[in-house]
Amino acid sequence: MSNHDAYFDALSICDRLQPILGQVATSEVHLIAYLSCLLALYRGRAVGNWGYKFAVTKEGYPYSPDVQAAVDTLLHQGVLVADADSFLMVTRSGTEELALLRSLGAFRERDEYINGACGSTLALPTGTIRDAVAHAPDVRGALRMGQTRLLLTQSGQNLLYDQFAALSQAVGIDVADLMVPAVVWLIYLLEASADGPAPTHAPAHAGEA
Amino acid sequence: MKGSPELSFPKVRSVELEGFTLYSKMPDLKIEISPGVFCLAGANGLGKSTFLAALNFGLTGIVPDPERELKSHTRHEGGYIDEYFRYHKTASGYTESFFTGRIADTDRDEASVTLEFDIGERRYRLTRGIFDGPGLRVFEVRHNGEVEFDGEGHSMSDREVEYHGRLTEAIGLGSFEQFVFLQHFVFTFDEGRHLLLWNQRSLNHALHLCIGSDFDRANQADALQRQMERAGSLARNKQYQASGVSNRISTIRDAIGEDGEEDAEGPIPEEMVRAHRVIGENVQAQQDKVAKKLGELRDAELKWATASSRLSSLQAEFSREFSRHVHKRSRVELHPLVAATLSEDECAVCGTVGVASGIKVRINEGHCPLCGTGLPNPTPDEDSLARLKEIDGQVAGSREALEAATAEKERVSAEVIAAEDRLNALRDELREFEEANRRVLLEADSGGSAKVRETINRLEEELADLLKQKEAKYQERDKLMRQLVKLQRELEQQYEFAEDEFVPLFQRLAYAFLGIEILVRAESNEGITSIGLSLILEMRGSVRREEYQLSESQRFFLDIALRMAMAQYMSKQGNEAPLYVDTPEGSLDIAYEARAGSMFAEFVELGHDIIMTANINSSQILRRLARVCGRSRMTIQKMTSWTELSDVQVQEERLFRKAYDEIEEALKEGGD
Repeated sequence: MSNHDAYFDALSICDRLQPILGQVATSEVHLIAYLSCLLALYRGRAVGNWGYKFAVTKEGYPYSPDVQAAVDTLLHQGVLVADADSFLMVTRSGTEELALLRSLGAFRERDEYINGACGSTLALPTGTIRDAVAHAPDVRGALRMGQTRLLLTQSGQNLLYDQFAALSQAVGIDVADLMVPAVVWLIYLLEASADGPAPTHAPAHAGEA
Repeated sequence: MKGSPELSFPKVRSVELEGFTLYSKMPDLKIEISPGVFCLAGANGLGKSTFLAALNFGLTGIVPDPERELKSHTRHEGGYIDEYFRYHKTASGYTESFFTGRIADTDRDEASVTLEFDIGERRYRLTRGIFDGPGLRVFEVRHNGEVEFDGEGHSMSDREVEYHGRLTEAIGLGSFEQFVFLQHFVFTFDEGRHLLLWNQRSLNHALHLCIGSDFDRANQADALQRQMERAGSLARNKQYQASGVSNRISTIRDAIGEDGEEDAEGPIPEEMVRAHRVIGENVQAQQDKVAKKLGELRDAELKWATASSRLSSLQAEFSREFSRHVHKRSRVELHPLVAATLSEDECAVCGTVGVASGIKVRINEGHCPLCGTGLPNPTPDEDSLARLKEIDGQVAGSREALEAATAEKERVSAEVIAAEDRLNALRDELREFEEANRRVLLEADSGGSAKVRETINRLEEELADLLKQKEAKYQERDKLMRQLVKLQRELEQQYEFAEDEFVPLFQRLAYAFLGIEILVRAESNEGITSIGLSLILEMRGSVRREEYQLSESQRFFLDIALRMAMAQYMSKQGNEAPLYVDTPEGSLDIAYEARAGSMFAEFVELGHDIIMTANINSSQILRRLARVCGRSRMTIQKMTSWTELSDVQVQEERLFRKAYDEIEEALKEGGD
């Protein structure tokens, strides 16, 4: 059975990134989905309710098997197509499908997080976002140790809460556009890591375009 | 002074079981038992102990409880031996529960045990229904082959009564209960591993029957022992009650500040009493409030659980419908020709390469990739969509309901905590108030200081009465004790007389097992808590008074030797008491295996039967026994054909056969 949250997220992310980036790599769908999940956490939502999990794996980081399966399904359905360079595009039927899904209340709130996360790509190149995420507390630990590891477990969340507490002091929790805390946090991660390069034991993302 | 009581014990000659589902291959079986050693041999879990239990049940109407001991179960007058029989026959329920599970429900009505046994020139035959309760289905007695009693025309319970009377008389005992005691506590050494040597109560009863020779005296001693212990127990109860009353008097005296001096009486301050009542009412009201809030919390939790469950169920339904929605999408690209073209990037019709992307574009624009005709809208069917939207709306509603229920639960939880805090504060207030005004409140409660003193006086009278009753019970106990001590002295004299014959028997059997001489002496205890004879063992110059001073093997087999010596001493020649032993090799150190076999063989040479069970293994006990007894005095009954073997037992059957062959070989060589 398809994971409907991952299905919606992948389609919505492609739809929102396409006008900004022109072309969307699968790894960017994983990255933005992860960032969206973090924004939900920032708003106080339980990670367990996100609908799917993320990991640092040999396939790259952050990686969600559900998102990957959703992308494959969307391609199979013709909702997305991949060009010769494997970049993803939303088809006409995909646009119609998305309009339908966005009309459902089930996806309304998460689309807000996705919108915020995608907005960060207006301010920062996706490569820079990936570098910043590599310094997120639980990703950094996994990369430094060269381990595959589930992300956003309880201990990973505890580390994030400290950073988000500081972030909410700076920008507030109920800020209308979630792009703001997303960008502030990513810049914070980059600045905090300025003393040393990002750990790179795992590939940025396998099969990245 | 008398010597051996010369009792004639039953020698079992056949055991017939019917409806024993436990023995799945032979639920109905008949086993002939020849004189000498009868050994039922088989692996663990085949039902060896059940066989011995069934035999004991046939003889006594009771399965010996592994936890059995001589103690008071009821207020019935009489001795411990009577009490043991009465309780286990009617009230304990052990016998029925023992057979339940070993016998299928469908066989309960038919299940029975039939025994044939000899005492002197008489052959007895009885059939006892396993679940019949007291009574015998069959009881007949033949004297030299002639029917002496056939039970015809008698009710089952009449037959039981007849059996008790005739058996007791034939054995020569004073009562059937005494036979049951001897059978269970002396002649049967089963998995309960009860030891006579270190249980003074059982040992004394056994010695009274074995060497006391006057069975009325034995009954009298038994009854005196129990009455004395009951009197002591009642005296202790009275003392306990007296302490309670004494404490109550002290508490009241402390409360009113009375130390023997008269307090000045004064009016009870009404204000204080009223304040006390108000605080008490507040506590009560707050308790009610807490109870009410707890009720509300339970309701809120139920509402919350219901909402959560509803949301979870709707989410699962949404997920299923969504999946259906995804899979219902148009699948032009799944057409084999199109799929092959897309997969290979080569036209499946004409073989042109690099066509896949163009075909995808045509499909995505809603055209057939072959003929260019417009395709039906690829969105899923309207029904599915409508359903998805409907569930989506329900999910939203349910989520709101859950949020509301969660908020309500949290609110009520907070209210419960606040109400409980308030209740604790009020209780503290009440306690502090009562502490500070104990005397006044007590007087008010009793109706004034004069009433309090009245209460104290009444309690003092009660105390004096209880102390008097205690004293009377102690006097009764001491009187009984003196009578018992008198009987005890008689027993000691009997023992001295019997010692010359009984002790050498015990020593000889013990030597056969231990290979060292033991010294045995009787020691009299006349303390308040224990009156009786103990047998003290001395080995290699050191006294082994306590159980732990001997190894487990030594303890078990010295106890068996004692039982054998008792059986030998009290039996009339030709009617020797048999011993019933359950898997003795399980408790043996390897060094003692062969010696235990020698001890058993010696007992059989004295004319006794041993009905035993054993595991077929490499233990030396059976081989030694077989070598000494030979086929003429030993029978091995294999149980492997009685029931299904476990997989492990089937796999290892070769080992069983080997061990069994070795015993057969020893039987063949033995008995010379």
